[in-house]
Amino acid sequence: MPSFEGQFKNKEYLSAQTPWRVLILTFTVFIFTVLIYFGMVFGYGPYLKSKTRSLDQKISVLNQSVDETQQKQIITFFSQMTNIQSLLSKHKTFSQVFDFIERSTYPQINYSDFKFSAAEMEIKIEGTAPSYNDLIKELALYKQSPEVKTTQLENSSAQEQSKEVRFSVKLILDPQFIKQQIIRTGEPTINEATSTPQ
Amino acid sequence: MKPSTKRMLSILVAIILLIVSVFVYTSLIKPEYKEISVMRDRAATLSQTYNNYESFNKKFQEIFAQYQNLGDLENQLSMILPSKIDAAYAASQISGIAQKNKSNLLSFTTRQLAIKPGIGTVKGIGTLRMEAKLSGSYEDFKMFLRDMESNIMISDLVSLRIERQRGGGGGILYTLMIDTYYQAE
Repeated sequence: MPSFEGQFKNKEYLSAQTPWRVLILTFTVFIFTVLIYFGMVFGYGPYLKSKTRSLDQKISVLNQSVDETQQKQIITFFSQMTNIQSLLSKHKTFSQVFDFIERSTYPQINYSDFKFSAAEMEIKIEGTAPSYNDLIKELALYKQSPEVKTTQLENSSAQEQSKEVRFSVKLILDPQFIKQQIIRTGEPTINEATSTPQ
Repeated sequence: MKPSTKRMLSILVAIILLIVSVFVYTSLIKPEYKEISVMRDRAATLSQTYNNYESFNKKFQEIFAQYQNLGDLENQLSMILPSKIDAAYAASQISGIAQKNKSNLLSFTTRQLAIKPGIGTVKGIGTLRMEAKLSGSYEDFKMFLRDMESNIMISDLVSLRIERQRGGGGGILYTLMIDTYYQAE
């Protein structure tokens, strides 16, 4: 029996072996690459193209299905809801200022001019007091009120004939006072006046 | 054919097939794959967009159907916040409240202020500043102010002046500056 080395070196043994396996393997690889290429060019590519075209068409149909008038109506409606909510959250009831003034005024004091500014929360009052003592008492009453942040006597003068004291006072109110009043008054009642808007 | 020649030919054919396969891959498959990838990404994006659109469209139709069933709510909202500037409506409200509270409306003027822009798709808010002069009793005026503040048309007091009416009579004159609002286009 010849050894392994002997068989390997034998010329006849080497020449008899055709490399079929290598040939089949490379042929398979070649067929596989060609199939992939044609699959992409004639199969997957056209499929993707038709899919995108169909999706484009469907999206365009969906876009047209929403009417512009409907969109405008909905946007207007939701804008109104949002804006009403925003305006009501900032809405303040300044009529409460009168309750404060009535509570903080002695009966002897007369007012001749009253100015109120909501932005500055400022009240300017001009009036008359029977005497300086009454005016001082009135100023002290303003100062004691929790609604008042600062009290400032701008001007005062005693009248020679009537002996009355004319005065001008500036009050700065605490913004918290108005906010608290809103919470206390709760939901506003709805009064419909005469007509409806266009 | 000699077996050795046959063998050599087989190896040569295998090498040629391998080279052609590499050529097909690098020159044809790779560039085609790039194009296919782009198309696949576009198809995926479009598919996602379509699904979103379909879902939005469905929701929109639902909302619109609900909106149409709301009936008179749109008119009521327009009474609270008119959908456009409407000085006549504002004047009718103030005049109506004054009449209800036995106050005389002596003068009434309006002017349009700058529009406060909205956020996103929400429309902005326009302000109509009104100046009204009224006369009447103090108690009636207090009721006028309370009614105005709780009226269906949203309005905010900006400033107020109370003074004695000139020319005798002992009446009281009230000068009010009031802001009312409308939805800007």
